[in-house]
Amino acid sequence: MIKLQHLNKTFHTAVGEVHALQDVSLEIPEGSIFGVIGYSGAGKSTLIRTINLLEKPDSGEVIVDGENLTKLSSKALEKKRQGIGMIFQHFNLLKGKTVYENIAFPLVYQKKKKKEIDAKVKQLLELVELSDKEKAYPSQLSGGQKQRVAIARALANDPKILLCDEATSALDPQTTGSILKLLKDLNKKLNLTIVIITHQMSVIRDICETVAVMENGRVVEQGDSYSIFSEPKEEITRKFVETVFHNDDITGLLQQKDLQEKFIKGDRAYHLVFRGDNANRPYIAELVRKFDLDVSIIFGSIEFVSDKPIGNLYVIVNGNERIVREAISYLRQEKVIVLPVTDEKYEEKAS
Amino acid sequence: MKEYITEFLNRFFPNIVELQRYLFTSIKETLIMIVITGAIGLTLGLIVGVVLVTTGKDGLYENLKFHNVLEKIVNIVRSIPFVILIALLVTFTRFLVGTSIGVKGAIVPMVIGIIPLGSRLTEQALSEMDKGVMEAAKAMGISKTYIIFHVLIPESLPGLIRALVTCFISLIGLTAMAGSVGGGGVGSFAIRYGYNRYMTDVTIVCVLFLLILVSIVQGIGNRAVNKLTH
Repeated sequence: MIKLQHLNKTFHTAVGEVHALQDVSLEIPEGSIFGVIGYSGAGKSTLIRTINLLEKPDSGEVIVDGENLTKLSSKALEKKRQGIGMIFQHFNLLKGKTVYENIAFPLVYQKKKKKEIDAKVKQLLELVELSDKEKAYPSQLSGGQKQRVAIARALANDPKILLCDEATSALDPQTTGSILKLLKDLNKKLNLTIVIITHQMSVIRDICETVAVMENGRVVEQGDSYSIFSEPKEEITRKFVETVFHNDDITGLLQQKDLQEKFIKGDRAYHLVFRGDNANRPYIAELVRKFDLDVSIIFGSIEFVSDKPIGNLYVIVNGNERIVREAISYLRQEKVIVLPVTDEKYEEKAS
Repeated sequence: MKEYITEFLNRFFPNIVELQRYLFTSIKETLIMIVITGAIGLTLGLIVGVVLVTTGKDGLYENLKFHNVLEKIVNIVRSIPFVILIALLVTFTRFLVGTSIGVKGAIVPMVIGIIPLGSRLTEQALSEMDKGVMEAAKAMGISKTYIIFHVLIPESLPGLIRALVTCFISLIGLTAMAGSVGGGGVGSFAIRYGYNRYMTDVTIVCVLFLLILVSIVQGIGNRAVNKLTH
């Protein structure tokens, strides 16, 4: 369990003060995969680096497994860090050492027996599926392979926690997928707590159970991934979610004035979000049958978040205003999220 | 065959043939000077360089005040022309090794003269190191001293060897200069006979010797760098 309490960090730079962390508090449960998303400069990298105190917070506390890291002596902190693995965007492997030597490095430092090291390294190589590359140098590996070596090295001390600082940002989508799958497996196999910092919402979608959204050094929204994806509350979260659902274009399109002018009288555009339990029911047919409305579907998509579906549907509804309102309140009763797209857009979402 | 060579040498390098005993002694002296000052001076240079990098900004032992003082000292020593440094250090040299001339007397100013260059080049080579790699080591819970000796220095080895080669070549230059003010070695030999007595063949042989020495050092350095770069 990682507990961050009221963390503050300000960098004094030539262009002025940068508040990288402003009163950030988070709790990361043991064995979970926790994501932190934000644009660059949001403070998420600073946040993850405070967990193993690579970055010392100006104030606040970092508590890992009941131990307050900010109070530890440097020797004790070194010991503690051995129980927290970390991987990076640019892998940070030792260029002058082979894959084997890289993975063995933290073990050699601890003066473990040669036999013991050999067994551990072989086992880790197998775990990350790189047994045939032990004699290769990092420069001979692809990005994905380098990250696998980095993961193996980070796991050499059998840590309970793995910190991933933009670990997939330098990789292509396919390799990203395979690394994320590996992380998910490790989480299950080793009950590893994984903290992931990223700017890619797809990473959150694919493996994170819980997510915190950061903006300007603050956590602006957090919750389980499924609710964040289906009901984003903050503007920035909505933007991130749209990058995954690919509906950012359609919202923009529907809000264009000249397109709206082409609507016939009584046309209203809505964005309907169906969550797991009600995604299978024929709501559109009900709208037509029960309320006698004209419904045209403009755009639809289904994404799986935490292995549960979220359906997005963009429709234009035509009919009597009173009936439309009735229909909408019916849908809302049924736990379908109804967001008006035209005019007010999302503003009247809470009703 | 042998006669031809003897005749060739007698014809074109008459003074060398006559002075060959001195030539070999001075070559030996030069090599001794380079090896001793290289070993002492470059080790000290390396240490100062490591201290400069680790106390510098974002270094493992960041201490900017100390860093700035050390940097100033290095810059000052570096900006003194070597010939003047020798003169400046005469008393110190005499105190340390009992004489200020000959091979022994040359070694002291040479060591002091090469430290600033050695430390500067070391600093350059070390600062090319990817900070992320050291950060990764830190995140693994590895101590700072271990990071210096097992990450910083080994990872910068190709750059350090290049620096070492440059230093050795400068050292060869310094031996020649030290020679001109009574330090012995090939430099002194070239000045005494080649320059002062117009024995051009002596100068040419000295130049050839230095050229070969430089090429050998450079060649070994390049080989080592190639071998260490992965």
